[in-house]
Amino acid sequence: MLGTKSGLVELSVGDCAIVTELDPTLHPLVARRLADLGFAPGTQIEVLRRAPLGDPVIYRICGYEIALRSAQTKFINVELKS
Amino acid sequence: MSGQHCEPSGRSTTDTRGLDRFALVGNPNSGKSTLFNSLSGLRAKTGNYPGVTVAKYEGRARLADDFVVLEDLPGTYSLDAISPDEHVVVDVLEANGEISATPDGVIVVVDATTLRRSLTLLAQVLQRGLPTCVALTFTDDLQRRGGRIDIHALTNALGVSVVAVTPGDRGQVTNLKQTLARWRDWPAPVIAPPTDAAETAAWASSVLAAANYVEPDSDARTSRIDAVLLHPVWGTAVFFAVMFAFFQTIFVVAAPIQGWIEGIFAWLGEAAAQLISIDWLASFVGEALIGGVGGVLVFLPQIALLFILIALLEGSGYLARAAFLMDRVMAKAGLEGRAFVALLSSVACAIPGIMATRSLPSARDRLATMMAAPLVTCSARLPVYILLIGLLVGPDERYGPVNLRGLILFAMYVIGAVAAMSAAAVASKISRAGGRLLPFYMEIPPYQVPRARSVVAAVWSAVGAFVKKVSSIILTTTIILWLLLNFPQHTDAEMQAHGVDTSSEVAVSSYALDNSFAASIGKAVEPVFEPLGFDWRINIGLVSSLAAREVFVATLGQVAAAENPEEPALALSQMKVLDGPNEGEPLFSPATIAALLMFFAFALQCMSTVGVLRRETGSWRWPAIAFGYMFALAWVAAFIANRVVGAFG
Amino acid sequence: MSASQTVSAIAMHPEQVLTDPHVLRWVVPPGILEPGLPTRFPAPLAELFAEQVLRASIVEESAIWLWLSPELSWPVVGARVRTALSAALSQPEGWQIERADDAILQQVALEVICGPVGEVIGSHGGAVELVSVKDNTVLVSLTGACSSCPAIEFTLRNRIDQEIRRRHSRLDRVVAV
Repeated sequence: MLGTKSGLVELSVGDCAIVTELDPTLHPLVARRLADLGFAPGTQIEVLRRAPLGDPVIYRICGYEIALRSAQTKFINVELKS
Repeated sequence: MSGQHCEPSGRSTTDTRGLDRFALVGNPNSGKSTLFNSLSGLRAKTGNYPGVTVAKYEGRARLADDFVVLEDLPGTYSLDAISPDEHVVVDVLEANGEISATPDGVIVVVDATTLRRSLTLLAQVLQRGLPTCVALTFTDDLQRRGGRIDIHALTNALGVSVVAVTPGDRGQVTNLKQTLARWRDWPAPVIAPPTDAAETAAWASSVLAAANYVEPDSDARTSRIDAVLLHPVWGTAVFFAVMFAFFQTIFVVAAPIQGWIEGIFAWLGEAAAQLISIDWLASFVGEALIGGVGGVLVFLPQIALLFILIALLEGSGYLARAAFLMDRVMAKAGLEGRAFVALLSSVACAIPGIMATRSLPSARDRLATMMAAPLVTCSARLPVYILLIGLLVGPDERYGPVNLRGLILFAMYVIGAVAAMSAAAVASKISRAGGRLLPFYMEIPPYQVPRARSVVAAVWSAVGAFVKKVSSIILTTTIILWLLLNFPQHTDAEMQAHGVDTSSEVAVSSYALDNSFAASIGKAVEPVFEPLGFDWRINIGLVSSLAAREVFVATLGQVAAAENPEEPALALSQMKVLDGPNEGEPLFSPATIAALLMFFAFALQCMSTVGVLRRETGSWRWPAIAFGYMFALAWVAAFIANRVVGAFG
Repeated sequence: MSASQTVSAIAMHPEQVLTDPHVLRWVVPPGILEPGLPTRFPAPLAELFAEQVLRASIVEESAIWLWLSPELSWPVVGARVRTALSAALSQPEGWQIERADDAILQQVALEVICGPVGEVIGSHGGAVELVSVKDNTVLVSLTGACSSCPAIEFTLRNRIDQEIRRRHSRLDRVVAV
C-alpha cells in the first residue's frame, strides 16, 4: 500500500521505497556505515533480487547495487512507494 | 605459491624520499587502481571485485618535469574505519608524528555512476583539510546509462578541482597529471563539509542538484545477465557449472603444453648426460637442476591457467556474484560471502587469500578464514596432485564422458573446500572474539569485459612469483636434497664388500641411495609415517615438502633419477616396497597414493603461508595452531584413506 | 509523520563568489524563502548579526548570500554559520524579506557575467560588461570580437539570459547596448 511504513526487510522484490530512518537501537558505527553507503533518510531504494536461499538481498540505491543481509535490513525503516 | 605477487608492502622501485607524495583514495571498485596504473605505469592488480587492493601500493609517476610518488590505498566507503584495510587509509591521511607525514595531496577517485555515495567519502576527506582534488571516473558509463553531470558546476559546488578521467584516455590522464603538478595552487573549500551523517547527506544532495546530476539508469546489460546468473535455480546451476568447468579447464587445456615442457626438459637432460663428462656434475645437472627444478617448472602452464581463470572471474564481476550466492552457505559456517572470495582466492594461493581477509570487518571472521584458507587446494598442491593422480589412473581413462584424472582432481578441490568450510565453522565457534555487530554489505558491480591488461598483469606476476620461488626455495631445497641423496660416497671395494655388483649402474645407484644421508633421515621419521604406507623414500619427499609443497615432486624426481638415471619416470611407477610384509609390491599402490593425496590435502607444508599467518595475526600462536591441527588432520585422513583403499584395492 | 522520524537536514552547500571572498552564496532548495533583502532573521541567524559575525545578506530564489565581517574568515566561523543558517531555514516564518528585485538581479547578473558565461565569451575574443540593472532588465555591453559577431543574439539569449533567468525567474530581458 502506498505510504506504508515498514522495515526494509519486509519488502518484496520489485518494491520501491524511501528510507525514513535507521533504527535508533542500531550500533552507531553500523548506522554511520549504512549512512555512508547511501542509506540516509530520503534516499530511494529498490529491491532487486533475493539470493537462492532467501538471504541476502540485492538493493539498488544511489545508482548502484548492494547486497545486505536481513540482520541489517530489519534496522532500516522505509516508506513504500508505488 | 610464495607471496611475492601478493605482498606489495615492500615495493619500492627506487628511493622516493623528497618527492611530492599523492595518495589515491576512493570507494572500492571506483577505478582507483586502474587509474593508478595509468598514472604510474606500474601494475597494481585490479579487478572488478570490491577490495582488490588490500594493502597500499606505491608507484612513481612522471609529471611535466618531475617524478612524484603515488600511493594506491585500499578502497573504502568511509573514513570511520571498521576493517583493517580501511584503517590503512585513515593512517595514511593522518600525520603520525616523526614516523610519517601526511601526503602532499590527496586524489579522491570518484565514480560518476555512484556519485552520491562517493560524495560522503569525499566529505570526510575534505574534513581532514589536506590539499585535495577529485578524479571523476566512469563519466562514459554515466552517459551511456542515461545519466548526466555538469563538471563545471560540480567544481564550483565542491570548491575543489574536478578532473574527468577515463584511465585509458591519454588526453585526460595528461590533464590529470597537469592538475597534479599544480597541487600547491589547488583550490580548497572555504568551509569543510559537515560531519553529521544527515547533514552530510543533505550537503551531497545540494551539491548534486547544483551540478545537475542525473543518476544513471541501472546497467541494462548487467540486469539481463543477472536475471540468469542470479536466478534462484539457473544461477545456482551456472555457479556449479562454472566451478566444475574451472577445474576441467585447468587439467584439459594445460596438458598438451605441459607435454611440450616435459619434452624440452627430457631433451635437456639427455644433452646434459652426453655433454658433461664429470660424473658428479652430470648427476648434479641432470638430477638436481633438470630433474628437480625442471620437474616443478613443468606445472607452469597449469598455474598460469589457474590465475587467468581467476582474473577473468574477478575482472568480469562474477566473483562478487559468487560471493552473493554463497553467502548463506558461508553463514552456516559462521562466515560471510566475502570470506568465500578469500577462500576462492586461496585456490590460487593461500597468501592472497589470507591477505584478502583484511577486508573483513570482524576479527572473528578474519581469524576463522585465516585458519581455513590453507586447507583450500592451492596451486602449489596442483603439481603434487597431478603427479600422484597420473600414477593412479591413465591419461585417457574416463568415467562416462568425464576425464577421470580431471574428476579426481575436482574431488580433491571439493575435499579442500569442505575441509576449509568445516575448519572455519569450528574456528568461528570456538574463538571468543565477541558478538557480531559489524554489518555485512557487498557491492555488486556492473559486469565488465575483463581488461586484458589486468589479466596479463595478474598472470605475469603469478608466473614470475612461481619462477622466483622455483629458483629460490625450491632450488635450494633441491640442491640440499641432492647432497643428502648422493653422500656419503662409497668406494667400489666397500660396495663389493656388501655384495653389490659394481658393474651394474642401477645396482650402484640404488646402493648409494639406500646408504645416503637422506635415507637416514627418511628412515628416522619412519615410525610416524609407516602406518600411512609411506616408506623412507616418500618420507624424504614429505620432510622436504615442508618448505614448499612442490618440492615433493622435485624430490621424487631426484629419488627416481637416483634409482634409475636413464628413465626416472619409469623408475617412479616401478618402485617397489623394499621390506616388510608387502615387500616387492609397487610402492605407489592405490592405497599409498590415496594416503599421500589426503596428506597433501590437509597438511600445512608451506613456509610462506606460516610467515604470512605470523605477520597477519601478530604472533606465532596462530601459525603454530594451524600447523598442528592441519598435521593431525593430514595424518588421520591419510591413515583412513590408506586403510579404506587398501581394503578395497 | 511519526515522532521517531528523523528530521532530515536542509540540503545546502556554500559556493564562493568570485567578486568578494567575504561573501558566501549558500545554495538552498528553491521555494523556502521569497527573494529579496531580509530585514529580520530568525533567532539563530539574528544572533550572528547581533554579534557582528555577519554584516549583510540577500536572498536569491535558491541561494542566500551572507557577508562576513572583514576581520573574520570563513574557515573559522563557517561551521557555526552553517548550523545557524540551517536552523533559520527550518523556520521560514521567522524571516522578513523586502522585495528588491533589481538589487538581487544586480548581484546575479554580475556573477553570471564574471563567471562561466564571461569566460566563454572571453575565450572567443569578446568581452562583456554589466552596464545597469533596472526594472528587471539587464543592460550589458558586448565589445571586442562581439561587436562584429553574428552569434551575438544567440549569446545574449542562450547564455546570459538563460543563465540569469535560471537563478532569477523575474528577469524581464537582457539588452545589449
